[in-house]
Amino acid sequence: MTLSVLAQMFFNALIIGTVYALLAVGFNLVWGILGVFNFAHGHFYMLGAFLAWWLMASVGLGFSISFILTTIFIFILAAVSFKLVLEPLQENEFVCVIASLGLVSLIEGVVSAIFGGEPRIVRLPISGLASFGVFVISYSRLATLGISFIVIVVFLYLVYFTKFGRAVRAAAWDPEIAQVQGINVSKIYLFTFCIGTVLAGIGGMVASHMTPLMPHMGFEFALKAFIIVVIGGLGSIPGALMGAMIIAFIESFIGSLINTTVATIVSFAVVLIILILKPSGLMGTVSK
Amino acid sequence: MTLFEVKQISVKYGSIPALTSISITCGFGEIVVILGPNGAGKSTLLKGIMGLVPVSEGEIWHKGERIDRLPVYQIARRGISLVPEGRRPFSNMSVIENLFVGGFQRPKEKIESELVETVQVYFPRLMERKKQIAGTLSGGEQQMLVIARALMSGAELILLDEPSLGLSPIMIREIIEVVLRLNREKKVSIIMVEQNAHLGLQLANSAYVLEGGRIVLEGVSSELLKSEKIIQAYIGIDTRKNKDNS
Amino acid sequence: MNSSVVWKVLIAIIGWTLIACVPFLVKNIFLLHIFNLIFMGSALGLSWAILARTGCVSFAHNAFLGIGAYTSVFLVMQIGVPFLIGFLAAGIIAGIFTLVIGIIVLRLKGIFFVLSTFCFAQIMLRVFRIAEPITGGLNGIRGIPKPTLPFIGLFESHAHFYFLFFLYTSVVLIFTVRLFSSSMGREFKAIGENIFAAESMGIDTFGRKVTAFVISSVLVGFGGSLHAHYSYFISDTTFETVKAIEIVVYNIVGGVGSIAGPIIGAAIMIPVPELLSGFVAYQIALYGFILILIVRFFPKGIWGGVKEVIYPRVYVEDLTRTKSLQLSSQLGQEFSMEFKANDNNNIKLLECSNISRSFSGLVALTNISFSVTKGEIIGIVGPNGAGKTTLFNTLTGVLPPNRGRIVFEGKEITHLRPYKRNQLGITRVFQNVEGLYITASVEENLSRALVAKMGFKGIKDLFGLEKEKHRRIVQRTQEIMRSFGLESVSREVAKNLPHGFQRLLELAMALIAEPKLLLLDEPVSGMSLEEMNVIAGLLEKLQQQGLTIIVVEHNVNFVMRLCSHIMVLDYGIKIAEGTPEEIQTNSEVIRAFLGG
Repeated sequence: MTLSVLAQMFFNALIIGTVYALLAVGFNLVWGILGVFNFAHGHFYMLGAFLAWWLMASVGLGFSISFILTTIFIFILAAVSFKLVLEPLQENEFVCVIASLGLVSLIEGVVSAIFGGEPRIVRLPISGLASFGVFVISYSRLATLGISFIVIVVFLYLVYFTKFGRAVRAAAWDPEIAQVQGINVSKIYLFTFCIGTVLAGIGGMVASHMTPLMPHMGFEFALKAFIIVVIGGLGSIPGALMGAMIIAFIESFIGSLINTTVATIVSFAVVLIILILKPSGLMGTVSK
Repeated sequence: MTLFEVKQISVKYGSIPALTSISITCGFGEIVVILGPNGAGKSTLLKGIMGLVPVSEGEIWHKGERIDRLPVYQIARRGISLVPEGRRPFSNMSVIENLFVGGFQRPKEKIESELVETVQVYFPRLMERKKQIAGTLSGGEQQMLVIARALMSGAELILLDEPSLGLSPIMIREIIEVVLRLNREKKVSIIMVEQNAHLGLQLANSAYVLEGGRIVLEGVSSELLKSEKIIQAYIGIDTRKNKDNS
Repeated sequence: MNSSVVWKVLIAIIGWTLIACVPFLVKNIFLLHIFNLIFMGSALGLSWAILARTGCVSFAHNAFLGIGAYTSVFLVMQIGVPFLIGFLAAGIIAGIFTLVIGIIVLRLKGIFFVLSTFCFAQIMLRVFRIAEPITGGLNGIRGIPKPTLPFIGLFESHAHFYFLFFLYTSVVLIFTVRLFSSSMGREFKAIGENIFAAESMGIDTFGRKVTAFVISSVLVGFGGSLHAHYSYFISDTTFETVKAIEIVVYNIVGGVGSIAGPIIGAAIMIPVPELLSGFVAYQIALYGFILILIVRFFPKGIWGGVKEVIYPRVYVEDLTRTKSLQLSSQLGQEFSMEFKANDNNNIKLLECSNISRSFSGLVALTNISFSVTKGEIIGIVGPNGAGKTTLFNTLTGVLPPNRGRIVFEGKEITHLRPYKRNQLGITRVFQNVEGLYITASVEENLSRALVAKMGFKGIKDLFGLEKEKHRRIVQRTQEIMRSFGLESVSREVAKNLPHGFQRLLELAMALIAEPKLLLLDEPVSGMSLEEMNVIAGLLEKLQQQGLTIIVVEHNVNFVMRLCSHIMVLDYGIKIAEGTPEEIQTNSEVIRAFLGG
């Protein structure tokens, strides 16, 4: 166990952690604030990855334009999904979950049909390795880290320093009284859903080069988002960030040292223990 | 034109009747108090006015327009605000953020001016604590905060639900003073729910007593203060006497 | 037996025979395979529905399927036991796993329970992947032998399996039908409809949920064994999460809560992807699209929608009958409770000492002590926030006190669960009719109360075969409906009753269990003066029969008339106690109510 191997694992975990943070914070917004358990969350992550890949590889657009177009597309798709499928069922949590499963099949099916089921490899237009003495990171991964980090910061600014963010936090705490302040809570819910889902899509985009892309991978990422949010605490954004790092580190270290299956078992076992002992999670506040 | 009028409204929770045929009016700059034992439907009345619970029968009029079928946030935008039972500040946010949310539908300049003209003048202690997280304030301070929050929207009609609940006598006195000043100086109309009949009657111009979801007594406060009927409504002494006589 | 039942049974027998004959007519292996899958899916769906009846949604049935499968395969292939043993062991092992995980996880409420079953399943799936000696790991297990049954021989062809699956599914179906109509099944339904009411009514909700979970998983375990020996090969992907979701989907699509539901759901959702396999690419998308459509527009599932078309009269609210109900002053005239004759009326039935309770800093009750003599009606009054409801909740077991003791008939009950208190003879009527099953009929509400009281009478009871118990329940229910004026609306859904009658029904439910102590939480709020007088008269009659009553009320008139002894609370402290006259002239009390 050399220092360089440790450092490598550490930085890998860090990078994966920021991507997971995007995924989880988005899921937290949707589940924690709207109370909608969207199984299809991971599929929007997958969609972000596929779309960006297609725009760059087949259509030949640059990274920035692909990024912007994909973001817009996912935003619109999320709005449509919410308005047509999820919002009408918001009262009945359980039926809503089933409907989101329908979305899972729908999105996965369409993507498989259009792109086929074989794994795709994405290459970002940046190549080369950066050397930091004891370890090495590719420029692509650094870009992932950088972009994720910037998006998270922008998101945090949005939530904590803007009028819109204040409305979201008010509606999250007490939707009834938020209405009394003149906030149109259902409009807030729509935007919250879209933003949360777009975060997943962006996560998929920036991480698209790190694993082979398959339409089926969406579900796995939904599970990860779920694990992280429960550990961190439903409704807590700092909790989601913390949970993302915890899971990324468990995966990175246990995954490298033993194997990935055991890492997943450990992750789920941690969730189960938290559900039993402290269902509100490590930093839980809201108890729905 | 009266500022505000409720005409024969009824509210049901499922099949449970909470309010039956309630009519009240409130004029510009008036304070109206709603009294009655608990479970009488007082909070339900305020919630019905605010649109938080659906009104099954009757009408609610504000400044000559019907408002009983409007969504809550639209009623709020008309200048009516509710200070709910149990205060309910946004405990996850600071004092100043709570105030900003209160002024949600107004442009930034109006919010800033309201802070200076109203909050600083009537609630100076709140401004001292503006960065403090609302959940950590004391009960009395939270009550001040939620009243200030309601005023941030520029509301002319405030619905106050049991402002004295759970507060010490000193705090209650302070709240009462602020409410009276707001009414006198800024001409804010108030419809207030109080369980403490004595307190309510001292503050208000007119009063309505609710029992079992119906109005059993109404009138000018100063007269009700002297009447025995109010004791009867709360404790039932008279009724008992009648039973013994018959 | 009336003719509609005869018809239903006839149709069922004909249908069953027709289905049994299919392999003689259909030789296409692919079609037979689809049928086999549908049978399996139906059986799994029904098993899931048993747990779902108690309101617990599980996403772990794929794990139990796998546990059953691997147990059976391991025993048959590596130990060499005959198939039947493997089959039985599959169910038993699955049941044991469920017992352990169920006891831990059934304490969780709502979505947390669902999520924890999900976690458990995910863990088991990974365990399947790495437990190579038993499960073959990633490579799975090949060459699983076909089942051999004694006296019948080897089941080899698809047609043979058809009969086996058909038999299995029929057994599961009949078992489920009998279970649902048994006392235990009715308790499951009560728990699923209103767990709060069920617990208060004397049903051991936790114990029943564990039982339902275990029964459900045992059946799934059996299914796992069958599934494994039908397929040549199994691996961890055979039991992946999709399988759990599918089982739930069958129920949703067909209609949760019904028996036909999962069968219809399986019959629809299983062939769809198979038949669409020509359009492999879009088949998954179409599956999702259909699912969304069904869930969006058929909230009660297909069977629920069909029922509404076939039986519209039953499901349309008919308020004309209920509107003409009047509370009669003859109420309770014929009602009698079977008390022991030698009741000593001077003992202290209930004693509370120093009850205190606070909620994260807020003190709700401080040192409340009082006692209730047998045959008394005592009232608890006080202004808003006085702590009456909190005190009430400690008496019923919903909330444990932080300090203090509650003793009932000499036994300490301070920390007993609500259902145990009910079994000791304490019943409660809620403030906002939370104790009612609002979607069930008047008769069903009452008989549930009695079912819970009568307890479990042995294995025959499990299958609804205890005729004597059943007869007794029907008889007593009729008696109480008559004496409370409810017989004209016995079939009416509780939701449609006028409010006063809902209250009355809840009261009847509390009384049908013949309690010793009745706790009433604001029994007359929202009632007119006449209605109040009727209720007061009824309570007085019950008192004469030896019932002890505690009433919490805001309506002081009512309390003054009814109670011989009154306790006044304010800010969590007892400020006065005495006869009505003493209370009314107590200046403290007047100050507390009016302020000053």
